[in-house]
Amino acid sequence: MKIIYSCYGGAHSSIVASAIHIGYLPADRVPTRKEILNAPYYDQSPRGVRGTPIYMGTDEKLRAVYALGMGPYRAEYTKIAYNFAFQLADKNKKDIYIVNVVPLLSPQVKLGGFMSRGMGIIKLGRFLTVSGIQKRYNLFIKLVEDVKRRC
Amino acid sequence: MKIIYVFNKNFYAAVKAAYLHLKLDFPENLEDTINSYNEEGNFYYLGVDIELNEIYLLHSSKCNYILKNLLRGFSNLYNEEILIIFPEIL
Repeated sequence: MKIIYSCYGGAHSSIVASAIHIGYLPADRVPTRKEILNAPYYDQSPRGVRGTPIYMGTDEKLRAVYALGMGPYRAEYTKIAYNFAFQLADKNKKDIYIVNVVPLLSPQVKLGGFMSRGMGIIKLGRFLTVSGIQKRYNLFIKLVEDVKRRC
Repeated sequence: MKIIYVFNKNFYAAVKAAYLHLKLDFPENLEDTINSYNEEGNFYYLGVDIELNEIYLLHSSKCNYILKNLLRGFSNLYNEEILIIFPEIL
């Protein structure tokens, strides 16, 4: 089974959610700034690779976990991704689960992500994304727990 | 291999290219054909060419590099060899 956490750029929220799922980030407390910055692929996804699933690891139930940036067309591309699995790869509906992480993002994280990835103001952008994610980290934990329970 | 003809607005070019690929006669009633392939995000299976490649038609109004990356990425996830063709760009 494949679990794919999707967001806009594939650099922050989907990375954090998948890192919690795999165990790179704690699921029982809010991580430090350094822990978040050290999560694999955090704030690293260049614009040109949006749409490419980033493999984050395999969890305790052997489910492959990916992070994916879909840009502004998440609804359309989510449908295409599901149809690719069902119609082209001939997989059943339990083989893939795409989770939208964008609703968890605060305006602060969105602004920070745009500054860091879009404008190249990395230092300030990272500061905003990390502190914004820390403020809503409990929601990320709940989302991941819910996904693990459903899959 | 699976060959996917992707179109945004120019439905005619994509269907024409796919039908030429399959060596099929172009449909006489274009309106009916448009309606039958028009749902966005669906992969419409058109047939198999002489080299046994499966030919698909995909309508997406959001054609850009993200879609290309998505299709390539998922082909890697599922070990499917694909070729993506955008006839509107040709």
